[in-house]
This record gives sequence, structure tokens and C-alpha cells, in this order.
Amino acid sequence: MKSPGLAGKRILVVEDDYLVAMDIARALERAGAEVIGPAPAVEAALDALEQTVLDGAILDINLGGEMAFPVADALMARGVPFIFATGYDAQVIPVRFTHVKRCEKPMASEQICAALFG
Amino acid sequence: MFIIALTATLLAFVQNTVMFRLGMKELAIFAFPLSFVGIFLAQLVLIWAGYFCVRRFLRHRRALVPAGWTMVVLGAAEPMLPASYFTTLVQHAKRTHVLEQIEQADSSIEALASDQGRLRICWHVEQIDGDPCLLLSWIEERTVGVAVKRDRRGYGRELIERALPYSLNAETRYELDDAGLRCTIALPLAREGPKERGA
Repeated sequence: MKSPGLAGKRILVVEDDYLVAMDIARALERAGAEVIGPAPAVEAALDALEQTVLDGAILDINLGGEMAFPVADALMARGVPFIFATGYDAQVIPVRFTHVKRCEKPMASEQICAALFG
Repeated sequence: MFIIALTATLLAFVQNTVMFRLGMKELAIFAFPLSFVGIFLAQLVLIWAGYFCVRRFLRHRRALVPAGWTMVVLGAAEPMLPASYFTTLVQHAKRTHVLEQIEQADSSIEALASDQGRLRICWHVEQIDGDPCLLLSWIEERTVGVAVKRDRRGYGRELIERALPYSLNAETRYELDDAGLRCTIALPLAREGPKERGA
């Protein structure tokens, strides 16, 4: 079912687990969003970020041992809203990202929409 | 010296036994219909990831190959994979819908569907562009052709064609036709660290 809050929005998905990435992408597409990626690693995410004007992003924190914080920094510099999709607790997240919402996987599209644009 | 060697051997034996049991516990969720080739391949990689011997694994599984099939296994080295490969693949394996796929699979999966044939599993490690790469091939040749749906998709095939390239930067090929199945996987063993942007 399409969600007015996500319809037509370009959302970057950064997630190293293929099946989780597909789940998130499918939920977003069902809600009418345009999925950018999914990107399994920092470099791929930064490439996608440079090539597309984004409306939002969902970041897994640990990308196969590589932390996604450079992507978060780049999103913040561009003023793109984003959320962390992670089981990590707040202590792991650098202080500069304490205002960023964290969601447990799996996430419903309504949950994503509320966290990004609510 | 003898005592040290004996102690090291015993410790290695205990470690291997424990890891093997842990590994089998992870693998047990597959229920393992051999015809579900993708799952078997994933299990092979899991075995390597857990530092187990493929031959030992296959010896346990050989009984599941139909009597009319010849099974040939070629692979000298036991490649060691970084622990992150193990984590990634186990994550895939634990997904609930994997179990659902397997429950639906039974004998309707085409691979190994005929009564007779030959299954060849070969692997070796090769340096590609200076980095070690595990090259694995799985070839099923049926004695009598069986009509198959070539575009049939299941979790095993998705794991090979999509998940391994996505998560582990592997290059894969999967060709299913009436005569059998040819599947190859090239898996880089040295995972690249974060690259400098613009470098």
C-alpha cells in the first residue's frame, strides 16, 4: 500500500545483508518510494550519494566490519534526513549522531516514514 | 617437545570438534535435500568459513547422493575464509523463509532429478590480480536428460546469483538445462578495506 509520506521520495538504503536490504527495499517500493541502492558498503553508498539527490536514507551501522559513519557525515553535510537501522545501542554511536533516530530491523514502511519525515 | 606437540594436537582436536558441532548445528537448519544445490554450495562455503575440511563434510553427506550418481570431489587446499564471511552466510541461513523454501523444495527441484548422473565438485585457490580467490565449480551431468524449467528461481539460486555478489563481492555463474547444472563461484578471499575517496 502506498504511503503519502514516502510516495515519490528517493531513499538510499545502505545495508550489507542482502536479504535485509531486499526486505527494506521492497517495503519502500510498496510504499511508493524510489529506492537508491541498496549499497552494501561505504564506498558504494558514497558513490550513490554523489550521483543522486536524495530525500532520505536508511543506514545499517556495521557494513561487514566497516562502520557507516562516513556516509552519515556526508548525509548530514547535505542536509539529507537519515535513520540508523541497527541493533546497536547508543553508546556505539558517535556523539555527533545522538539526535539521529535508531530503528530495529525489520522495519515497516510507516515506521521508516515516521522516523525520517515525522 | 613431545608433550607440547601432544597438547597442541589435543587442543586442535577439541577445537575442531567443538567448531564442527557448532557448525553442524548451524547447518542442521537446512534439512539438506541434496538437490537444492545452492544451499549445498552455501554449506560448503560455510564449512570453509568454519575452517572445516570439505572432504570430511562430503563424507558425511555422500550417503544422500542417489545411488545411480557418481560423485567426484577435487580440491587439495582447504581455503581459510575471514570470519566475516561466516557471519554473512549464517545470517542468510537463519532467515525464516529459507526454511520455507526448503520445505517446498522436496523432489520437485530439478537438479539431481534424474536417476543417474555424475556430480563433480572442484575447488582451488588462485591469485587473481595479486589477491587470493577461491574458485569453486559444481557440475551435474545427467545420464538421461530431464526437462527442466531453466528460469526456475529459488533461495539457493538467489543466494548464488544475487546474495554472494552483493555481500561478498563474488562472481558467479549458474546454468541449468536438461542435461544438468553448471555452477561456478569466484570468491575473493581478501576482503578490501575502506578505500580512500578519490584515490
